[in-house]
Amino acid sequence: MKKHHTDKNSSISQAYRSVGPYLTLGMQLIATILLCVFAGHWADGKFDTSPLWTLIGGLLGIAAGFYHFFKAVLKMDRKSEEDA
Amino acid sequence: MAAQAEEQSGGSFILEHITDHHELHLGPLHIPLPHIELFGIDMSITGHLVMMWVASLLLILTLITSTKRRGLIPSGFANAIEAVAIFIRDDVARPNLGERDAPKYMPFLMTVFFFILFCNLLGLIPFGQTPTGNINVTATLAGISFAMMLGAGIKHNGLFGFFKGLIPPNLPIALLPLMIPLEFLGLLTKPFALCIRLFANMLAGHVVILSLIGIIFILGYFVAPISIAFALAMYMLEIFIAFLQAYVFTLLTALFVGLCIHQEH
Repeated sequence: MKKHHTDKNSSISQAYRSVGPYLTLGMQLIATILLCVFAGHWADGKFDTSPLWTLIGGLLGIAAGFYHFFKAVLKMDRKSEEDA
Repeated sequence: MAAQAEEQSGGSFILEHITDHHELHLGPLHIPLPHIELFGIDMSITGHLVMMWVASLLLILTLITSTKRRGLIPSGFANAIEAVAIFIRDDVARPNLGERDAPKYMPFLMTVFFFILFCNLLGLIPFGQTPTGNINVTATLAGISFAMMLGAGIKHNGLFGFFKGLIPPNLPIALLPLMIPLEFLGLLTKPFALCIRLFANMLAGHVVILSLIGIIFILGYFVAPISIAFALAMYMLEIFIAFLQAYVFTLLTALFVGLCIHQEH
């Protein structure tokens, strides 16, 4: 009975674990860009330098977002090759 | 003009349900809650806070009663709780944290999972609200995860070693000014994504259900069967999302804490 439970759980969890990283990728990319743009916007309001910091934040966010995006994709690619 | 007014009332009825209030709404009953201000910060007791208390209380009650009379073979509800606990241990904690470190972080992960699950489910029962549909709540939860990541990373690798480990080794010196902010941003955006993900998922389901119900009052009663059928389908989906998001939050917290402990570089 108990064994059956864990078996069933692991097949579901295995499915989630294999799609999980892909589900989080988009969110992470958007969150990085949003966080940087908001930080830039806040700095602009504080120092009255609009639109300088919003632009810097946006560019930094895009750079950081894509850097982590590619890093994660390459890592997953390596992992799936190892598994295969 | 009339349609516009109705549309506005439809919108405000949705906002009424998803925002936090200084009173507890129990059907027609509106119980006022105290306003408290400490050191210039609004620390009022609000509807969502009361709902978190209810979630904590339910959590304590259900978990204590299900583990109290614990035999070798758990039965009924205790069996379900044990299945979840084993699932989190074997499929969340161990693969991400490693056999050795997993037991230390299990209490934290279990608390996070059950608390978020109960908060998510509270919004699906009558008179309930979803505390996790409030960005302040999810931001605090993500903040706790972030503190856990930093604490675990610094404890295992040392303060200097942890921050040094964030940056890939053997990098040309010229790239360092670019890579340090990029890697540091990656550390910050992980909890930020956690916060937004849980908040958006919990809020979106409620907005969709309320919009489907609101359509009845805008278009007329003849759409009621269709919109209620769709709302019911969304409700079923929301039950699934409540479990899924609690699981995803726990899984990602374990993953991030694991990344901070076992830095790959």
